[in-house]
Amino acid sequence: MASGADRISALPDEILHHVMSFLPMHEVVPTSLLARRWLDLWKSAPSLHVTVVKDCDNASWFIQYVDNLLLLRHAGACLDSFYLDLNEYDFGFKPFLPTYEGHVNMWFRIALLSQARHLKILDLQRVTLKKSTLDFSGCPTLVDLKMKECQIQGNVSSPFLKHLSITSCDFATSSLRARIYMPGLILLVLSRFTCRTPLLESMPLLVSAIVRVKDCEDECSKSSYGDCGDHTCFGCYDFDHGANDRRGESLLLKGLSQVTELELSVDSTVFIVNRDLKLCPMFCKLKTLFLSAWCPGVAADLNVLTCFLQHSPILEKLVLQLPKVSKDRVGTERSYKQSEQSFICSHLKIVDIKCDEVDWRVQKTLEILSTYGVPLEQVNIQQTGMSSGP
Amino acid sequence: MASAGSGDEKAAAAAMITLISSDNEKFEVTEATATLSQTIRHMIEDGCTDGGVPLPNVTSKILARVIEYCKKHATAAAGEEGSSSSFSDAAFLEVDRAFLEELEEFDDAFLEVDRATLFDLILAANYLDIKGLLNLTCQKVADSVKGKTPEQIREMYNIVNDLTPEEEAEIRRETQWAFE
Repeated sequence: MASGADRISALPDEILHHVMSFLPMHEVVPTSLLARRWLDLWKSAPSLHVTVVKDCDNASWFIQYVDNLLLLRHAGACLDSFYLDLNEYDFGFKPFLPTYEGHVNMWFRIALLSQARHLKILDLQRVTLKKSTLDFSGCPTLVDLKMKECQIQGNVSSPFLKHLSITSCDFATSSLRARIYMPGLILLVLSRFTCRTPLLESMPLLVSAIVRVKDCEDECSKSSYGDCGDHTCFGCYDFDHGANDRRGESLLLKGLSQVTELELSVDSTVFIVNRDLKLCPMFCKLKTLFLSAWCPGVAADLNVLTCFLQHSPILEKLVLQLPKVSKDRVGTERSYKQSEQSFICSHLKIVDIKCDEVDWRVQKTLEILSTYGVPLEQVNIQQTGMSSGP
Repeated sequence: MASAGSGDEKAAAAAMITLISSDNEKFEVTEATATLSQTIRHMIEDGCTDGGVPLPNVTSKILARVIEYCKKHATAAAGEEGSSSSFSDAAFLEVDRAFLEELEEFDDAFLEVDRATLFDLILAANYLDIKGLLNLTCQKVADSVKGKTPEQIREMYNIVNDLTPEEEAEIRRETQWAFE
């Protein structure tokens, strides 16, 4: 099969390091036994990918192992990426985390010292982030920040950040809402947070955004605007948990107003977007709008559609994705007022409706679109169900 | 940037570039295909591609494979840049799932090559600076050594162990902490 030549050892260091970056360190370190060429290679690898070792349940061994990985590196070797995965399924390190918290923090400190001034990407999962750590203005090179399943205990800010992704995080900021101050942001993903909706500050450079709101505390089955009148209502009136903070201000939409393409998905019980719509800004640059999980029978969703059609003068493409299962209508249906004033979306060229099957909802959607003066020949219906079409 | 019209893209796609392999074979490719290589992209930007781009480190056999890869991936890259949405974690707007799956299948089939070709592809991807292809091929090598002992890896890749038994014992001692 293969000839006798040792092609792998002939590769330059940088390529071998790249190969190593796809392996967890407990697979990389033993390569030092292969031959002299490999002896010290791992000690200068720019990427450290550390995972828990399958079937190993010895926490103190693991601590020492990671300590050694960091301490035995060559002095001055650049560390571009430090990836620590404490995956519970292989080895339950989590119960040991409180005991060894200081150690784990130290690993990151050492990793950062190796490259702090060049830190570009920070990817945090299941981390508790205290107030003091959420101000990234001291990291001018940090452009990409991802937080997933984290607890965010304060305002998140950086004038330098370009890409921000917050997924399934918890804004644990008690009586005040978290503020997201990212004036340089180009890309935003804010998907499924719990607790209160944060305030998005102005983002003049924003190009793309995904915002999905579901299961947060800003919901009420009775009121469209968070003022149901029942003072025991947690969503509308629990002031200790932020219900009253920033009332009367646009929380999400104002900050998003400069966006070019937007995906928006709002659960029907969440009142925050409906409330924002009252203060709806102009979306002067919006060209593509994707309303995912959009339902024609739900007044809140109709409000969203009308409002965007009215406030997006150069909208070119509209995609409506109908959910698999119809959204629940809210107990008292949210008020929906059809606009008296007629408007023409002169730039709107493409309207796509994505659905599982063509049912009454599609019919309804077509009716609504035609009342807004959208010519039906511009509407494409894409069935994404069982059919194996292209 | 985000508003770059599709007209410009079409114009760019129509421009052809000639690539010349080490054994002097000529390949005509679109600019969109060629610029998946950062090396070639820079050459185009510097305006030094008239009369063809000589690639003295890449044989015609390997270059043909590399071009095959770039052609397939150029369409994907064009879509991404055109809409400027580089969300990696989202089923966003234009991302066509079926196409991504097709791309994955293509990649899998593309990697069905012998070891010598794999290493040639790695070197070509590195020289031409084609990030996707370099990741793909290096990942393949990484996967091949996963879970293997040093002895197995040596055998697989014809690595000659030039460590003395004493040295080997010392390394084992030094890295003992890495083995539970």
